[in-house]
Amino acid sequence: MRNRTMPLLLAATSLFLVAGACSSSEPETSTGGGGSSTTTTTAASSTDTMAEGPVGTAQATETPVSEIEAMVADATLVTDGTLTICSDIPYAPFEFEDDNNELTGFDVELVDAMAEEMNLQTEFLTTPFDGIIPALVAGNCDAIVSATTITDERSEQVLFSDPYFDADQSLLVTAENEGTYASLDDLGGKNIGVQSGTTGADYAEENKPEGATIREYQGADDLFAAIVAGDVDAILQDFPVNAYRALQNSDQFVVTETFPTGEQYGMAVTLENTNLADALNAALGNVQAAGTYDEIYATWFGES
Amino acid sequence: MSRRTRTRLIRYGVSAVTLAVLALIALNADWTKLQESFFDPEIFADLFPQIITVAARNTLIFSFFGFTGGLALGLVLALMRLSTIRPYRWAAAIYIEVFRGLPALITIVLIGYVLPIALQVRVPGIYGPGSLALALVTGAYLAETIRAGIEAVPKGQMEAARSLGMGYGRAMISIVIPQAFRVILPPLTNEFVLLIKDTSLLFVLGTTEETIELAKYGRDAVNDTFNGTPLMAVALVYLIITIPLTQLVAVLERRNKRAL
Repeated sequence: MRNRTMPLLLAATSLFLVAGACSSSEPETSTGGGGSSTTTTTAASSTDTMAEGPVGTAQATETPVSEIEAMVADATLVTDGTLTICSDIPYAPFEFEDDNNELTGFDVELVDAMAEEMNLQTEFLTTPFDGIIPALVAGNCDAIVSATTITDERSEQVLFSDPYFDADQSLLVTAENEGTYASLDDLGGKNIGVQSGTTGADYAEENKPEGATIREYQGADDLFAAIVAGDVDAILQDFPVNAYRALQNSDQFVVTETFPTGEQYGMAVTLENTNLADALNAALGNVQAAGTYDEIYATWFGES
Repeated sequence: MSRRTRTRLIRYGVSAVTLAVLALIALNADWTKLQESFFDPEIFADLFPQIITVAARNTLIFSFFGFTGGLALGLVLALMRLSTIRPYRWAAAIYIEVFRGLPALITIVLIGYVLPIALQVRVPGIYGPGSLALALVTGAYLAETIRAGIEAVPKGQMEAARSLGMGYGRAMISIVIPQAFRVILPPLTNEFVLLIKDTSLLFVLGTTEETIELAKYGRDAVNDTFNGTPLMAVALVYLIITIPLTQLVAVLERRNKRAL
């Protein structure tokens, strides 16, 4: 090419622009998360002998709806007027679709009741559990309501509401193996199925017997398909979930051991969204004070 | 203006617009955040050596077994498609249509869950179900490729072989198929690269520490660290595996051209 000035000019300009961009970007100061512990308005009544249990409603305090609405107004929502919830559906009996493809379950009914107190619609977003916290942090939803255990590790990433359910871990086997795999120690050299990213997976990893292999699956339903297919010999998962499945299919599954981990479920919001956490706690308190919590609990888990 | 000047102006114009767009993106990108979220050196270093010694190794193992199985299956299917016996042709055609039409994910679920539950048949080995599913899918695609390769070999070859007293089978194995494979080596390597990427779907069958493959390894790390760096690392490893292969294809094609 005889004339080189044009290309050179363009190259030089672009270089200048890019150099300018690189040097002018300022480091973003991340708004420090609250992490503030909200005052507990309920007394936890978890007893070690209960594998699952409601969180105490005896001393629930009531907050006027107008106050809750004020908190909601200050909170950040993905869609105004709607509480968008990330949840790993299905996870019976907490969130799943019934025979009419209607979303139902303990978590669903509880959140619906709470949303009424908050004057919000609810919308559920099905999210695989092992990616549910990143989904919240990325801003896909306002809260995680998915039978999520409150742990110190998770509390560093998200802000939990007050606990709303007590649960333990448990071992589920097929009915014909009830005698063979009566406890976790009987599973030496066998396959134990867990759900990716759950506290059950952590518990299994820490307490597995010699030679046992842990197999991680994406969803709870995959676990039950795997045990029927024979890919795993036992499932280590939250007691309510195992118990529900065993109840629905009593000739197929049986829960043989319960591990008293004393876990509690909480609803998670982003660390900065303290107003929403306060609103959720207040709404939970109202739902408990009104007795609705006990009603929902009785529907799914019988009288406590 | 002259045609040449106009062409030059258009070219410069396009270059200017492209550079302007790139500069706009460069200006608006938050480079610090980008570096923190996707190129964190500490997280990157933490991924080794498991990302290579376990994850990449497993990906290659699954790909290898899937491909060799698929090759064998594809060859059989191709020969069935070319057979004079009609039921063979139909059976092969049906198989190929079904397994090319189904998403690989469905096939994997079929082999991993439906087969054991419905027929109580379990594929042995820790790499068994995954490799079998991949082989079934790859076989369907390779069947058509191999058939095309066989048909590309001049009919004269088969006729000459038969006239020398070789049976159909002998002629196929010694004369036709080797020539067919030389022709289809590039699409074959292509298929292998696609297979390597399909191993990312095997997570549905449940993963163990021993058999975890590259994509699941990366996704787990992303969820554990809340950072996108593992994804970049995994992408890099995938490219390190596939790019030499695609380059190999280019070399093979050039050599073939010369030979012909």
